[in-house]
Amino acid sequence: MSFAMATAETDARLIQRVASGDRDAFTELYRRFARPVLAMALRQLGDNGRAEDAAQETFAAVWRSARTFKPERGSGSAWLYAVARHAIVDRARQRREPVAEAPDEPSTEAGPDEQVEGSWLTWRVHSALEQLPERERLVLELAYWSGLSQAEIASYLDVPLGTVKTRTRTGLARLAGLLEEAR
Amino acid sequence: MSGPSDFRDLVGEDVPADELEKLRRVDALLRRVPAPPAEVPLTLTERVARLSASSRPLTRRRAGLVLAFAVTVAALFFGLGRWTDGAGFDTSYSVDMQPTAAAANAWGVIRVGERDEGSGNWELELEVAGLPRLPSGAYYTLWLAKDGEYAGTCGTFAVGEGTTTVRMTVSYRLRDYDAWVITAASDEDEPPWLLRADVS
Repeated sequence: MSFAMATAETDARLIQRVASGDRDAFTELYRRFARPVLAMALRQLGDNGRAEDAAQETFAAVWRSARTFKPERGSGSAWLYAVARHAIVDRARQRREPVAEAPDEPSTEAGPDEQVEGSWLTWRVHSALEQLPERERLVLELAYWSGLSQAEIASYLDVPLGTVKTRTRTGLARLAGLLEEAR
Repeated sequence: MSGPSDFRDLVGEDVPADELEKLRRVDALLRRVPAPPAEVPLTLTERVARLSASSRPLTRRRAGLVLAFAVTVAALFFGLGRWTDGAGFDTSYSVDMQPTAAAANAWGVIRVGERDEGSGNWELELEVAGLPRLPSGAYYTLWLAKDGEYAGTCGTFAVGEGTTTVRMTVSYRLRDYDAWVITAASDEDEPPWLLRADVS
């Protein structure tokens, strides 16, 4: 059994531990979800400062309200996603945006339902990435979002090309399992 | 910036067909979602470490937990140590940890408190010395092991000069495990054990 999979505690269990005042569980939740929360806040608010404020409020709400989490109603990740969305929407409402003029042509942007689905998908993927061993997460992030080729990643990390491919493959396989669990 | 490499270039050619399809689905997902932020700003981590002090009604006991949490987060993300004076901890029994060859000069003791029957949690107090200070961002982990394999994490900590004392809470049934283990965070699948003790 692999090290990471053997020791991973479920998000739901961590939230329940936070509800009993467990600071270590809160620290672990923060480690797992800080980047997914921040990523969602940045996408929705488009501003680093406001995104950090929303992320802070998300974890404040988790700390205050972990007792309201009911595992029979859904996964821990889904509960955290809802808490984060609420905090981000609250933060967005605090800014008075000018009223946009009606467009002349139909928008090609995703509609509200598609946006929510995309946001949830992104959340799941980002959250799962945080549970990967560091070396696999790093290789996947470089492979998919840095624009580097496999050979360039191998050079950047100073490891053989075969190691990069192995880590990519094991990382993808582990990610598949985590995403399946989170459904 | 160019996109990710071709799928087969990413995973290689020698992937079994059943695994290939699973990997391909994840590959497609990763190509759809935007990149996560490169890192979490330290300012956010500091703010989250502080916020719990004011975002929840504090009892005297909880005030201590909040302070300890703040220091834990700081230790985890900034490589600082966490120290408590050990006062106010009701020890039910203690376990001496033995160093392995990988940390011959280290020692540790785990004090196990009373089990909270309402929540099922055990309070632990770990006191260690002789472990090297780790680089910023790195940390040690106290585990419970079963049959020589890691089975449950109890908490993470950093160390300072001299003796470091940390409090942890675990919810496991201790009798389900046979060893306490301390390791340092590592890229290795199974980092070396530094200190160990039998679960008595």
